[in-house]
Amino acid sequence: MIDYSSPAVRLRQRWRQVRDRLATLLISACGIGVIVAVLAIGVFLVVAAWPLFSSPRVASEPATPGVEVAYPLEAPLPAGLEAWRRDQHLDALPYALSHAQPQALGGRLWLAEGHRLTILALDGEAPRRLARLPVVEPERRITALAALAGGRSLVVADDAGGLRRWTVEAAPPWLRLATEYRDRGPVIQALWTLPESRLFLARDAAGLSLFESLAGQRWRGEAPGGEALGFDAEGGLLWRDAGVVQRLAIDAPHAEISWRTLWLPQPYEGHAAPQQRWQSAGEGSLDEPKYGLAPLAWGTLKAAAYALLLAVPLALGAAFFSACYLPRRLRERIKPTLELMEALPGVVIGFVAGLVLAPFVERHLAGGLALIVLLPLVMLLAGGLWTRLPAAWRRCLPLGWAGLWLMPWLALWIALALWASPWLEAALFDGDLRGWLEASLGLGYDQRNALIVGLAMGFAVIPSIFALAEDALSGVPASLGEGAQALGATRWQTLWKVLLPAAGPGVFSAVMIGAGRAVGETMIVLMATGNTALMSVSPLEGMRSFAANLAIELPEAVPGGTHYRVLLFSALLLFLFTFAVNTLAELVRRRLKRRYRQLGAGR
Amino acid sequence: MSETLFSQAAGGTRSAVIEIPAARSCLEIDDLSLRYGGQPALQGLSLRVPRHSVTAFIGPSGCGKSTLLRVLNRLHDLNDEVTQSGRVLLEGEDIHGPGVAVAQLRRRVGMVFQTPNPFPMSIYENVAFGLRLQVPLKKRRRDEIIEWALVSAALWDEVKDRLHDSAWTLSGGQQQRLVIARTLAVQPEVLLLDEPASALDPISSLKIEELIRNLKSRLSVILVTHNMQQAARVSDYTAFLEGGELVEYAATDDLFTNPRLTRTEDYITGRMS
Amino acid sequence: MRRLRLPGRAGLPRGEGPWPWLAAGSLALSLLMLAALLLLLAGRGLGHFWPAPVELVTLDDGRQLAGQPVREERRQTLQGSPLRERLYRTGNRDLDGEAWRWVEVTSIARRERPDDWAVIERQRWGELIVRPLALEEAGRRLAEAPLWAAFAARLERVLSLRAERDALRREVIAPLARRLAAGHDDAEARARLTEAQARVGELQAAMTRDALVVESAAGERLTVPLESMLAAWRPNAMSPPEKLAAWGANLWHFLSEGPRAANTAGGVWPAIFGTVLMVLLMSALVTPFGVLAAVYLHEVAPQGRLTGWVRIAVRNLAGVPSIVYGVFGLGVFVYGIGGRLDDWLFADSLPSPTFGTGGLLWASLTLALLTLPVVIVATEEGLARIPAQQREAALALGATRAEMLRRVILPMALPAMLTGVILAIARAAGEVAPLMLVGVAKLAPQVPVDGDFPYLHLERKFMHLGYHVFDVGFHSGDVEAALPLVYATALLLVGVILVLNLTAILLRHHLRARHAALRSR
Repeated sequence: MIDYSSPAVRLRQRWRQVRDRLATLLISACGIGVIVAVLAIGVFLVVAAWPLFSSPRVASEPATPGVEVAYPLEAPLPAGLEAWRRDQHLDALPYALSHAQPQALGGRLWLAEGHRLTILALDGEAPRRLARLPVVEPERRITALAALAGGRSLVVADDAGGLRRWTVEAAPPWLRLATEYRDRGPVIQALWTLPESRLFLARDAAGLSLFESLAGQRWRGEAPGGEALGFDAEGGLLWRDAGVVQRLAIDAPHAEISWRTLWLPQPYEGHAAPQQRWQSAGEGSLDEPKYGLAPLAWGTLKAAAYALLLAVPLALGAAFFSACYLPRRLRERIKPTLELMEALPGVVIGFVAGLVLAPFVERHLAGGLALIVLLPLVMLLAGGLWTRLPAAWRRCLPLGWAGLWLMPWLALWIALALWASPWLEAALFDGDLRGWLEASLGLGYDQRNALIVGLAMGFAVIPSIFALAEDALSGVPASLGEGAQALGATRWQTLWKVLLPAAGPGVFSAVMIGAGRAVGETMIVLMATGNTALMSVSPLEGMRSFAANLAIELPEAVPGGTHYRVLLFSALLLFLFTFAVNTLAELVRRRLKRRYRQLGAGR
Repeated sequence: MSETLFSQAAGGTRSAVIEIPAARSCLEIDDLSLRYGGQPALQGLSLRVPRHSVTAFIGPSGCGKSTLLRVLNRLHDLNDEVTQSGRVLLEGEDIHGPGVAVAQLRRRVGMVFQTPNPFPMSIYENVAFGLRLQVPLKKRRRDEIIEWALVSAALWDEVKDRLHDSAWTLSGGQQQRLVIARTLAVQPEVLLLDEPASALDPISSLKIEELIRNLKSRLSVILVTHNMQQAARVSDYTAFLEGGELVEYAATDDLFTNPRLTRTEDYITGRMS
Repeated sequence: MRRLRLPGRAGLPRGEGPWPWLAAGSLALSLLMLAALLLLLAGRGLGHFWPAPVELVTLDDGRQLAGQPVREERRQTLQGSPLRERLYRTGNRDLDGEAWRWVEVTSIARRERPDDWAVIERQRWGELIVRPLALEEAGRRLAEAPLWAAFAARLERVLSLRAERDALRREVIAPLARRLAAGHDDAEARARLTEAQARVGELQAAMTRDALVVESAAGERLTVPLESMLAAWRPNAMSPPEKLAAWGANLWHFLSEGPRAANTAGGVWPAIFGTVLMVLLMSALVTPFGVLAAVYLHEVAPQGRLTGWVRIAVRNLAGVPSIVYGVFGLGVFVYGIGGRLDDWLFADSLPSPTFGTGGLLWASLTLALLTLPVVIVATEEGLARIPAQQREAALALGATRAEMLRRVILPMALPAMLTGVILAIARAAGEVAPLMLVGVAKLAPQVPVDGDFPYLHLERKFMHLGYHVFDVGFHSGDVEAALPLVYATALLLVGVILVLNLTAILLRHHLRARHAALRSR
């Protein structure tokens, strides 16, 4: 009836074949493209953060003809000061000068006299001597001296090859030893600070080293022969050897970043002891930027920990109850309800936490804290009373529905506790719990603190943990549980002895997913904490997390700068952490699914 | 019919295969072997399928009869784990040949599966599905072909008043006949039926058998079944497969009344008695 | 799925012990928190539009104040004794310097709700809560009675004049000015422009004719020109149906108007518009690509170990924090691609960036990337649920793979894709953190769609409901004034997202039921 050999039909068949190839090609191209694009996130972050850890590049090249020294090797002294030095016969001594950069310190001149430093203030007509302090061992002599950009750090080299950094203070003891780069080595003949950066070059008989104020030595190589002239406008060191000018290009944009400076306490300027600190400096500021990631990591984990502290017991309790006790019909209603809870946007939860809950808890702190103890007791009380109820009443309030009819009961007690809060506070803590906490436990109180974040983020995390844990528990083949119950175990015993051992990995992976979510949540932490980068355990103080820090600082960071890259590095950490946690959870879940299938049931 | 019977000893086992002249066969299978992963599923199969007749493949579960059927339709192309060797010729042309478009081959070799699987569309659209893909037709012409296909599948009287209802509203037996009609509509030369009646009740099953007997005037039918009475009732030729090997291939009457090999006899009697 | 059930009565046989009660309590507490949050949002968000009564409060010392009670709080005095204070919204910021008053409850001598007190909303300085005394026309006192009806009529006139003026400015003057600025200098347009401007001047003059003389609770009298008013009502004199009507009108204004007074008053229309537009763009991007990627993964790619790993990786990207996607969007789309585009196409407007800064396009792209895993996973699940027989049946009829996918598989997977897209939309509508990096603005003067070519301005920044919540709640000067708006905005956002999610849940439910039917055949 149809002639399949007619030319028109043949042509159509050919066309169909071509179309099929094209479609397959299109689908493959798009599919691979999309998947590559999605997976490119990790690649991008790695590529963007990579330069932070690359070592500085220092290379000698011919200078462009006519290039001029923009920054001399040693800051020249003002004319008056130069004259004064000549008068005092001090002109042979190594010196370092800082102009009145930090207003608090004023201008300073340091002179090296043997193993001592003479500190002179430049605030009056003539330099005024503030102190003379030994900065190296008595048997050594200072050979070179330099002040770093900003004037709050002084680098001192001695004739045994020692190299130390001292931070400058406005009052006695005037100097504080911050870093000992090395104690012995080749004797350093000269120290040259790079213009507008915290890098300096140290020249000794054997060669040239590049140091960064915090990170220490970043490069060492041969010193070109001849005479150093100074730095050009781009920060390259100009050098004359046999009449030819050479340029030493120094490319070390992120020299201050190393694993040590990111994670360990650092001797920052203006602090007596090494500190863990995150404090980015503004663009073009000479302040020392403090890129310690530890406080942010701490804040991230602290927020997640407090959130999990609330969410894990509540979510798992609810999942246990749902899997063992809830009647099927009710369960089908409650699961979507909690799914809806998961969909609530973080910004709304954060807003309620930051603007409503935080002031409320501040006013009702005693009642709020009392609730933590009270609520479990009240739940148990409900159970105790229930067993004493007449059977007819108990039929009206079946255990399977307890998840619902306990709600008014709990609401009642919460209202009661909050109402009684002032009296409680008056009776136990002289009416001022916060004062009492401060005085007796040394706990400060921030209005937006870890407790609030824990509550809010815990609320946000509950549904995901609940859903996954519930799935794992109800996926256990029913025959297992029925077998245990047939042997006379109670439902709770069945849960504990049979279901949990079987579904344990699934419950674990649920908690992991919850942890991943808590670590990455941005808006809640941003809105419900003060975003101060503290490192304290106290639930009553705030924190700053990686995610919130990104949201606050990234829009202002200059692309390609150290600050930008450190922020991207922190995003990479977040990415890797959540990705690893989720992958682990997913693998656990897959294995569990296979196990259930082997156990003979499943969906 | 000039039928020569020959015996051969392959791999230590004997087989008895009826030789059909090439001129009368539509399909020729030549030394076909197939492995699933590393597992052999078909081993050195050779036979010719006669034109305009019903050929049944019987054998115990896992003997490879469905696998063989899927080879003829090249459905194994979808599965990366399958490796095969040997040739299959459709009207003298290798179905795995470079010039053969698989979609065309499948149009010529139709296939009906064990469970009825109509698409979630109307009855009319189900039958029109293959047609629409193959050739653009005027609506009147298409309606004619669809009616013809439904009549051929003995379904027309039952559905002519509700062609635009969902195909899922039909009963199981009707669905299976709909699937056959759908396949007939594109005018295949060979129709492969993979246990087409096993999921149906006895009455529907009988209707399908009657349909198969009527179809052989138009095309060649290959029927896979585990139901030997069905094979005996419907088919002209029967091939008995066991463990991926062809054991005996003969005219159906011969095979059931006078099996040449004891393996065949054991199987037939073990099941039939 | 079979459930574990104990035979017999649903009680506690042989003592289940204390643990079930803790478990039940956890569930109850979780639900309670959810209910409390939703009730709080609904109550405060919707309550804000209800015309609250005005109380005239006389204090112990004889001073009076008029205001709408907002809430009460218990505080501590410095001596430690508790004290109850009530917050009144007193308005009159230009008179008192403060629109809110905390009043100690015990110091209140008398509270009344006199009918004649009115709340007047103005264009500047927020609300007035005053007692109207008389009407003036061009400085001349009128003796029309009843006063309120006369005032309402004259306010109505001012409002219609203003509407006419605004329409004239928007529809006649602005296009003409654009035409002239673009260099089409023709006399007719010029004449029409002059004429329209003259008419605007007339309208302006007519609007300033009337004024209302009012008295505040502190006894200050002032004359308020009707031209500065937006609306006025006497909450104490309104009957419940009137209040309901006013509530509806307020709600409508909130939804349909732009923000005023540094986002602390007015509506959220630009934010709704921005959110919807961004989400639409995002869905237009994510749907085809997500579906294609899923089809590739499930139908085309060889099902080997590598595909399995890719599948797990894609699934896990759904758990990567949204801010990381924002970082990616900023680094790659804004600075990378956007910066390049600016160099190539918009070099003349540099250094002010066109595409090299956050904008609608980048935000939609970032969110599309963020929601891709959701769509891919949902679609793949849908594809996996279609029995293999359907595919084989189509192929056995001589369909090519493309035809099989297009005619059989994709139509069957449609509800699953729809579920995925709806879930993606719900997630995208609620995400704020990535938007803060790639293009949201606290106040965008221009919506990204207007009458200028190319009509849809992908490079513009836009307003977003979620960011509006964050910004108004945390960065506005008068948090008390902004709070009700934040509640209302948050409620709106939650409402939209819940509706989307409910749709997805119902769709999925329907889908499962259908496939169960398909499988049982």
